[in-house]
Amino acid sequence: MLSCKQASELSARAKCEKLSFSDRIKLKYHMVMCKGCQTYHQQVNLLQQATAKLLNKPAGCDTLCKEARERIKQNLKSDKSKD
Amino acid sequence: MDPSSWLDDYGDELYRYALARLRDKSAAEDVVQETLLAALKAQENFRGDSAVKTWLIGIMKFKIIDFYRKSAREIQSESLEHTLSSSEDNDFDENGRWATTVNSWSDPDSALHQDQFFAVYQSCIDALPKNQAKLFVLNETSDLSSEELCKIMNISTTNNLWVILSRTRKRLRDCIDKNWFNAE
Repeated sequence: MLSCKQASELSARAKCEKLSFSDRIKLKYHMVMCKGCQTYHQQVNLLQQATAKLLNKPAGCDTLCKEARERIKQNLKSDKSKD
Repeated sequence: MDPSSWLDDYGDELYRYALARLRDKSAAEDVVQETLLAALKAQENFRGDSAVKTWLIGIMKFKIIDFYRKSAREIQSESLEHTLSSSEDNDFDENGRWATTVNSWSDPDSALHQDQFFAVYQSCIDALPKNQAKLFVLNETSDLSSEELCKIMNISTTNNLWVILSRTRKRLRDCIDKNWFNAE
C-alpha cells in the first residue's frame, strides 16, 4: 500500500496529468483506507477552488495608475517611431 | 482596428489579468506594455476572427510565461529543488505517514464566501518562498504541461515537480488551518 507521502505526491501528479490505471487504483485504495488522507484531499481541493477565486479578484488597486499609463503610452509611441 | 486606442480600451483589463497572475504591480505594468508592443508589431497577423481583447489576452499569456521564465533564471540562489533534501521534510514520519494529525475543518465551503478568508489565504501565499509561490500560481492559472512547467521553473524532473507542488499545498493547507479554520 502507498504511504501518505506517496499518495499526496501521486495526487499532485493526478492534478496535472492522467495517471496510469494501476496508479489510480493504488491511490483510490489508499484514500479509502486512510482517514487523514481523505480529509487532506478534501482540504486541498477546497484550496484549489479558493485559488481560482482569489486569482480572479486581484488585490488592491486594480486599474493602471496614471503614471504607468502615461509611461506605456510614451514607450509605445517611441517604439512606433523607430519603425 | 485602432492600435492607439488599445491602451485606453483594454489597458485596465489587461492589467487586472496580469496582476492576478503575477501578483506584482510593476511586473504587471511591464507585461501590459510588452503585450501592447508585441501586438503593435503583429497587428497584420490579427485575423479578426476573435475580439481584439481575446487576441491581446492571447499575446499576454505568452508574455506572462516569459516573465516567469526570466525570473526563475534570476532567482537561482533560491532554487526550488534545494528544499527537496529529506531533512527539510517535516510533513511525514520515517514511514511516510502524516507526522501530525490532519485536523478537520468545520463548514469549509462557507469560507469561500468570506472576503476575510481570502485575505488570510493571500497572506499564506505571500508567505511562501518566492519561487514556490510563482510555481504554484503558474500551475493553477495555466494549462501548461508538467514538462513545460519544469522547463520554465528550472526543475530537473517531473517527479521533483510533484514533490514540490505537494509540499507547497501542504504548507498552504497548514497556514490556512492555523490562521483560519483552527485559529485560536
